[in-house]
Amino acid sequence: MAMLRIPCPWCGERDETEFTIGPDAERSMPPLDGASDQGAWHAYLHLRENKRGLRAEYWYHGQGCGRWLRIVRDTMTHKITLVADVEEDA
Amino acid sequence: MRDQPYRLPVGGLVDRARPLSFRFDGKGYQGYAGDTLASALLAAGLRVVGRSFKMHRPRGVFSAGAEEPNALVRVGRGAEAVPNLRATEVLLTDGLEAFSQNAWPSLHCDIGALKGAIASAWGTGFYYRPALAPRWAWHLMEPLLRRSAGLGPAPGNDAIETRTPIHQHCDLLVVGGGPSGLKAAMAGVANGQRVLLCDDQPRLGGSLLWCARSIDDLPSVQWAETCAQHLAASEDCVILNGGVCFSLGDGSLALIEQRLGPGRSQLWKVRAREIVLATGAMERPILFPGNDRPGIMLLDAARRYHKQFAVRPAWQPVVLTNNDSAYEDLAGLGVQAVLDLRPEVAPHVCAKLNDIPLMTGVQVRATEGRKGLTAIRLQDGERIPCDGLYQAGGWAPSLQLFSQAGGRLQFDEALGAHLPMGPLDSIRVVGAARGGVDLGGGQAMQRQDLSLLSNVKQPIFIDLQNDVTFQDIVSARDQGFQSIEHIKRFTTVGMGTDQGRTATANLIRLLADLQGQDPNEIGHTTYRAPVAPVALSAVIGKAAERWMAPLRKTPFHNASEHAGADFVESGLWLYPRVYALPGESLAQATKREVLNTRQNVGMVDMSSLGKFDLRGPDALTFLERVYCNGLAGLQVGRTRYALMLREDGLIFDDGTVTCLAEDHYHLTSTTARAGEVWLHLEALRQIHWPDLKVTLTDVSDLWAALAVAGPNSRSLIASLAPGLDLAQPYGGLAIGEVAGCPARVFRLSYSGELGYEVHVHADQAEAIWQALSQAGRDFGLLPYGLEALDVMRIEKGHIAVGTEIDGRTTPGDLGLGRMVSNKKDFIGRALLQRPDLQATNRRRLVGLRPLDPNASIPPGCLLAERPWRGDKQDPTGHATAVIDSPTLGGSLALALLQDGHNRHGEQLYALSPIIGESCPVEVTSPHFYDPEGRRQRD
Repeated sequence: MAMLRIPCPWCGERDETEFTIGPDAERSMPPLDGASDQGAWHAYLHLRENKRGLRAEYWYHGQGCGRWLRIVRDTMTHKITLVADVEEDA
Repeated sequence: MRDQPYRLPVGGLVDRARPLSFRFDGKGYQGYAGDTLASALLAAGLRVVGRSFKMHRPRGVFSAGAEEPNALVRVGRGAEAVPNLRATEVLLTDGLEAFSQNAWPSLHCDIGALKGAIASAWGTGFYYRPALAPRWAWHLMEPLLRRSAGLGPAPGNDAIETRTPIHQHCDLLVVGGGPSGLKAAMAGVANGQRVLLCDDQPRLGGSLLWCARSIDDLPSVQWAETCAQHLAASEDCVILNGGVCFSLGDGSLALIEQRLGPGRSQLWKVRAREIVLATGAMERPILFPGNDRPGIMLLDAARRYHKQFAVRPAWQPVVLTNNDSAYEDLAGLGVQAVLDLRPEVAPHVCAKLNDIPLMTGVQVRATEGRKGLTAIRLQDGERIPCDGLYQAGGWAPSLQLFSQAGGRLQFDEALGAHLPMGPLDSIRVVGAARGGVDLGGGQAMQRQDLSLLSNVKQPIFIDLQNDVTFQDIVSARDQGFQSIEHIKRFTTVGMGTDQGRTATANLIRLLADLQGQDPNEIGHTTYRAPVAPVALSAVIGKAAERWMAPLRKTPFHNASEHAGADFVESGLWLYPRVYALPGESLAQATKREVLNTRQNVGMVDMSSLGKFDLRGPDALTFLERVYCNGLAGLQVGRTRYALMLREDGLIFDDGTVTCLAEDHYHLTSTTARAGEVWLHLEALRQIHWPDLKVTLTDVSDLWAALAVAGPNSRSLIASLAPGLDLAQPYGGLAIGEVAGCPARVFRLSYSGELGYEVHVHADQAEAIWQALSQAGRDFGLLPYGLEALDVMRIEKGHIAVGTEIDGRTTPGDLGLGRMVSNKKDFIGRALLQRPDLQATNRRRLVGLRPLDPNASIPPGCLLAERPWRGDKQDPTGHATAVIDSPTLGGSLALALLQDGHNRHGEQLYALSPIIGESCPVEVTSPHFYDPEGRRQRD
């Protein structure tokens, strides 16, 4: 059952079912410059904080604009405090 | 037809002009429109209406609402029957047929009641016991436990009428149509809000329908009626009668089951800016020995049966109470005495009794009456004959929804129950649910003296539905259970269809007193959705069976169907499996299709592949990062096989990359991973590499694709496209027209034969299929399906998602190690270097052939050094795909074998512990058919 409503910056407020949650937005992917080592990738891929409180995450609006959004959500209350297109945010 | 001995001659809100006939356990009765099944059964004088779940004790109607623990019924006959309905919630209809539950062979002579006598077998935590008994005992206990564990049998599908859920948005959602809910809804409408009012009853008013007060100088029933009319007339108000709000979740999504009749309900998903919970309060029972006899019920329920339904549940009842609320509205109930636990009652309260005798400082020590109450006995030995006992043990606000939405509760000592702590963001609790109306002179509430409950002969039921007694709770505590959540699970208290509504408040008080704790330290069990029993069919709606997920059809679907395809579901796709001739088996048809493709020419629908269009000056950089193999040398007009890894170095997907221009590429993915690959590529493009100048378009549905394969494929296509250069080497691309359709013709092969993939615009699928079929007659063309496609790729040793690409294999494991570029960085490179992924003893792709050419390799087999003898041995590998090869004859398999690439020629055993067989096999190269690839390349 969909619970959340996500205010998409392009499409307006929509049901959670239109979105797919993606990677953790609290860390960035190591650059593909040939220098990033196993340690950096291991940390990026496997280490998670399991945060209580505000957490940044990426959601894909597959049944809407097709944009990846950066969303800040409170893991205790599920309250969404920020929604931005990844490009605006970058 | 029987008369209604307990129905009063006048009064009530039932429609006496509309008598209704119904049957209960096969006997005919009569009630009126406006009755519930429970009120009609009481009117008929039926005292025993069910048997309890565990001990099969006779039980009667206990309440008048959703909290009913006893009167569970099955409505309807045979496969149409709907089980576990509360008689208090079933609206009487003409011809209704209902049956009692948990009784066999009959309600009045129940064999299961013997179980009550063998108390030791059914002690506290009875269903955990077998786990501790010897293993063989489980087999004896299981059937007995299974039969005891269920309530009524599930209805057949025919009884279920599904409806699509309705989504509704409003400014104000009011849950509860009693006095406070009506006021809130009226205020909302007056403020210009769009209001949705949901009430679980067929008629608005809640307790107004059975209390004798007046509001705004109107009798309560009329006031409720006036409000209801006003709201119904307002365009801004939607009223859901019979609507049970059973879940209130994050983001204020309210789920409401609107009950339209047994087996018929409508789900509403409501989003409201503001929610008012006017969920009211429920009366609590009082604990005393023998408190489960038919005739014992809640006082408020008795009031309701009397006022709303004009039914007297008993002729000579007594009232047992501990608070002032019991002194209201007793007129007409025929109460012969009020028994109060308190030693003293204030004179102005006593005055309300008029002539009814009052006894104070009372404790009930026992009750009598095998199939209905006949008398009670007090602590001083006094015996009071009575046919009913109405208990009023104080009130418990209904806060399940508030708690579900994240609200916190605090135990209020004076009330003896929980109250909401502070408001929630957009949720308000009003009225009795907030303890906000007079709930019976709170301070004067008398707590029960637990010492008086010990050393009694008769059981004291806390949870009537699950037969959990005071003695069980004490026993659970003695066995070391302290947390209320543990006690709930061990004793099953509060786990029935009533969700322990009449049990919880008493349980918390009891535990606190037993443990000498503050009730707030005890807390409460978690209130989860659903708050009330909900038909699963209502939640699922239409989303069952073939409506559960969309079914995708390729652009060639109609043509394939016409050509005689048998379809199979593969993921979301409906895919041609085989084009069998009449009388042909699956294996025969597959063999014919394979051999025809290898000897002449075949065509197969490839439209379900993922297809992506990539453009931009940085397109090549993007591709080089995404795929593990080098693509820099790919020339315009050429296609290359490409492998995509996950970040952790394991294979994600395989596909092709075609260079259409220096800054323009066409990518394909497997059918199975098309969605995931798209998400992955878009995440990389949008999130991680926004600096790369590329655009990506999903063109999967724009192209219809047919693979034409076999020695005659070139001549066939050439006959339809004389202008195309088909002599290009493997991986070439020809763009032009085939049979007048604009097409891209890729020289690629999955089958291992000379082959071309013809891609045309999706709306020309039918045309190209017809043209090829027609021209193909001269070349021996036959369509082939998924089975032949799979058989040919296995003969060829090509890998596939799900079998070899199983989320555990690296390129090296599958013999593709040389594809991995060491000249560039790409997704998965760093973690692919991890020692375990580079270890030499990993399972590697090999082929298997049986030593005896007539033997069959068992499907799903393991590989081991010794034959199967029923003992344990560690397998050294496993088969991923096993077929009978039409081309090469005999059985063959692809397998992942430890250090396999160095073990070609070795002899092993293919074991199937499941069928208890093994087959000696030889390890071979995985490329069985045309290993040099001459047929597809020359």
